[in-house]
Amino acid sequence: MEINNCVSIKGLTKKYSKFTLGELDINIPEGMATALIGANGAGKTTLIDILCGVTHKTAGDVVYFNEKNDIGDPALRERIGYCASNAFFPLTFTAKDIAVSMEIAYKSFDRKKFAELCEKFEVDSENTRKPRNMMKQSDGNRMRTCLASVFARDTDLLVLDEPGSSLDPLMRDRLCDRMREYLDDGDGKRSIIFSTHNIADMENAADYAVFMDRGKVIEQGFIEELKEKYVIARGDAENYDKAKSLLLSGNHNRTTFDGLALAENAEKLAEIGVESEIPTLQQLSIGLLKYAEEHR
Amino acid sequence: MKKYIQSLRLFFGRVPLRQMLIFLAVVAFFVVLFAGLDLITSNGDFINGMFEGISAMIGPVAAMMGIMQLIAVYNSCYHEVPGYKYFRSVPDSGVQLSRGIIAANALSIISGIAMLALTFVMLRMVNADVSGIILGALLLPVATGICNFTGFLKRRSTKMLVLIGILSMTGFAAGFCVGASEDGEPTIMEMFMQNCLPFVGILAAGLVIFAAGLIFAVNYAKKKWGVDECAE
Repeated sequence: MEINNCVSIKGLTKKYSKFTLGELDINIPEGMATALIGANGAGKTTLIDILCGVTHKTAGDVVYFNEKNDIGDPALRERIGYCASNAFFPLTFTAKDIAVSMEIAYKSFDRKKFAELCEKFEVDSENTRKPRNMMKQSDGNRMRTCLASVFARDTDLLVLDEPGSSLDPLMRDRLCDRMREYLDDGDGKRSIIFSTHNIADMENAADYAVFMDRGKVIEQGFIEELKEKYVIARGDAENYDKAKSLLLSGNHNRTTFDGLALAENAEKLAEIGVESEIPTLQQLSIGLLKYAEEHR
Repeated sequence: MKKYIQSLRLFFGRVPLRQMLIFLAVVAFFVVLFAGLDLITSNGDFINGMFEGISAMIGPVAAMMGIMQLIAVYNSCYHEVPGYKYFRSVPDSGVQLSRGIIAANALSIISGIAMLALTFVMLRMVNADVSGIILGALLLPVATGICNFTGFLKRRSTKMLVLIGILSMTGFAAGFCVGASEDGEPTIMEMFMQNCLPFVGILAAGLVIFAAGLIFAVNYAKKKWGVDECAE
């Protein structure tokens, strides 16, 4: 089955005095949720900001929905829902101010839906008597309000910068459900890009993953394929020296060891008495990021 | 006109008029209070002096009320400030900001004039000196123009210095006003009544600074806002 790209990134770079993002070549599949995974400072936020027109790129091309490449185009921005990691809205804004402002900014903003979502996410809505401004709300509630505002628009692409980081586990679970609903309602035409550090909690929401380290992409692919490409190897400490050369990264103590290895080496690992198992996204992420860190 | 107000509302959620109404209420309260005290104490030196100082200060301060809204619009242009990413990500963000700036300037000037007029009426009702109102009117376009020129300064400390400078101008104007009315010297109001030409000249120069500042800010908002800013 041929999969269309919702966003195609080619040769993208952004240069700051102390950090360079790229060159990046990434294809974000349409109709799916893509997770951007990386350590702090990997460039996830910069990439998201470039995709949403908050920051200008230094070079390269970004093509959205196979047709548009100018993020300055208001029609394109209408199709993209964006939510930054923290304090997206001014701290003086109440839910009512957000509704007023978003209604002016976006044609597709549904004020009634926003109020409903605020109530569903258990935060002040514009119908709340004496709604509190953002300053008086916790980080989690700010993020809930921000998510309500972005889900209240009719968009084709959601770009969420660490949406789960300030949410409690229950809300993270609800967010995953909400993201799935969003994709299902889009009939294969809607996509999501989100960055996360809460990999275990957000694993259910992601179909595709892009792993980043120090401004570069170190791995990308469909999660199911990546789980076939890599294995988690586990064995006794006495076998560690023999297995070491086959491991990409790993941990060991006096009795046991575990680490990430290529699935193609599973048989060789088995020959030396090391078991292999399918990695979770969390294990895959830690293994790949550790590997990147050790090979900088 | 509507789209300019809409752009301003995009940055504020609602047009903030509450502060101005509170200011007016406070001015009205103190004018009545001091006029009453002046009457009771039969022109006592202490109350007289205080009233003189306050009436001189009120004019320039009234003129500055609207500028606070303008400063608030410029404050949302910095990437360190909460809300920056939202404002940058909306469709036509540069155009929205430029319209917001124009609307905030209009609001600044209109509300400044309205506040000066209302303060003038209140001071006249108690026969107080209205020289501060004239200085406030002269100060209003200059301060608004400077605000526009410095709105996009990257160094916030420099911006703060400019703001302090504008507020100091208010203080100097008030001091000048009180000093000029001492011991039989003609007050600013009397000087204005005798020969208004110098005042008109200063006002015209202020309007030029205002217009230049506004053009600069609008162009910057449309073409350069956020171009080199880091978001990481």
